[in-house]
Amino acid sequence: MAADRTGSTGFVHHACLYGSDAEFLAMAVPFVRGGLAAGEPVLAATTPANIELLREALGESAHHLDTAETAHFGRRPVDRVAAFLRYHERRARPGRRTRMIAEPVWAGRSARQTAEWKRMEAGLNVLLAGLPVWMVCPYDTRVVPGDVAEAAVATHPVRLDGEQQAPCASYADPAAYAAALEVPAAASCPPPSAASTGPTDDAAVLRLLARERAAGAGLTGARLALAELAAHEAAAYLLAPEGARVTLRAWEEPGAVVYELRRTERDVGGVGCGARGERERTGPGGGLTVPDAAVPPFAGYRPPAPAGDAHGAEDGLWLARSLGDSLEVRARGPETVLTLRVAGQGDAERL
Amino acid sequence: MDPLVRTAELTVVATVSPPGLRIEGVVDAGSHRHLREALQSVASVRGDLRLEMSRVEFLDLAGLRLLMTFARARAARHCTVELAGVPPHLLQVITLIGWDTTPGLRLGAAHGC
Repeated sequence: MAADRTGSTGFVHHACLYGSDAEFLAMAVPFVRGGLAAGEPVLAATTPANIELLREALGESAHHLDTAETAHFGRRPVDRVAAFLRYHERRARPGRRTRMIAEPVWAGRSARQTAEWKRMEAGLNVLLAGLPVWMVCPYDTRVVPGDVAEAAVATHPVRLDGEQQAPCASYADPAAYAAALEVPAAASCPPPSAASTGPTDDAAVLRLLARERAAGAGLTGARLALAELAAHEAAAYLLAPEGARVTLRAWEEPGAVVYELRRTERDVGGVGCGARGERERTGPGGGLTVPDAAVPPFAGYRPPAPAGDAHGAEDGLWLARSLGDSLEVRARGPETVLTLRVAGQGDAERL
Repeated sequence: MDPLVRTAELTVVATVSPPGLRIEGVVDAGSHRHLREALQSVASVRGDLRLEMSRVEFLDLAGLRLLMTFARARAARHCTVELAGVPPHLLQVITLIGWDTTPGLRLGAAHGC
């Protein structure tokens, strides 16, 4: 029977690189059976083909397995983290661990999305730390590109082959991994027609422009209000440190309304679009002049706490991530730049 | 009845029938304190309360949490808080976060935006 030999009661995160159905089952069947035998909730969030394989192999015990078609179990990393936490919250049994097979979709992703999912895999080690969850992330080497397979062994401390566990030699500290990750910039330069306001410490001024541009892009009703709210929460996050001021630039690109929120802690020359040295900000420190204003790695990936708890410092960032199509966090020197993309009126998924 | 809050952005009026508050305008970092105080002023009212929100123009996440926390506190006293006229997008946000199951909270019919 598969057992986690790390002795940890907190989050255990294994990668399983498999190259055949048989190799998938050699890991998944003992993992699921072991969990069910121990009275643990067990989830398989994987491809429909793998779910079918697993059910056939499990026979009667498949009735006790929770399953999710992985593409629909958190569409983006922020949704994925929420889906894991929701499963654990709803299914966890006192004194027992929860097991999850969690195979992300890699095929067909843009380079940027692929980087975001790699970063999330690293981030799970931080975001879920302390939760009594044993998660195995299968990677189908028949399908995933080589760089994704390499990332698997850098973002999971342990590799699982069948029931054999082996430490991943290339496992990296999650924050360091994320900081070093090359994330292709989606940020297009603001066109000359971009609307601009600020710098200001008044969120209402930023919100007003955000709403005007969303309305100008054809958003109406609840979608307009959600765009305004997403931009507001991103702005409010940046404005939280004493004395912070934010400049908003807003424009349209195919498929999205783009909000670039730029916070400068002191009066310096601006960061040019695509300037050398500007990069995705994920690491701590990193030369920011006001350390306590730095955006922590993996900020805004945990959903807000239940009602009755205090408002979390990153709750607004989580909402902006969740309501937007994407949220990039970049920093260079004293500047922090959030680029929020909200789906445009042509987004047929929201018609 | 004099409003409990009257600023350029936010007006909050106590209502008698049904008992509760009518909230109008904008709730953001500049008015959280006012909203908290207005909620506090009806915290000792016995029975169920209704917060009428159809004229809320903007409510941020921290403001929404104040309402959820208020509902939860009422639940501890076996009372409910109905949010009436909640703009549809805020209903989406409440559900997205999972706050729709907050004890003591009742979500009334939405109208307007």
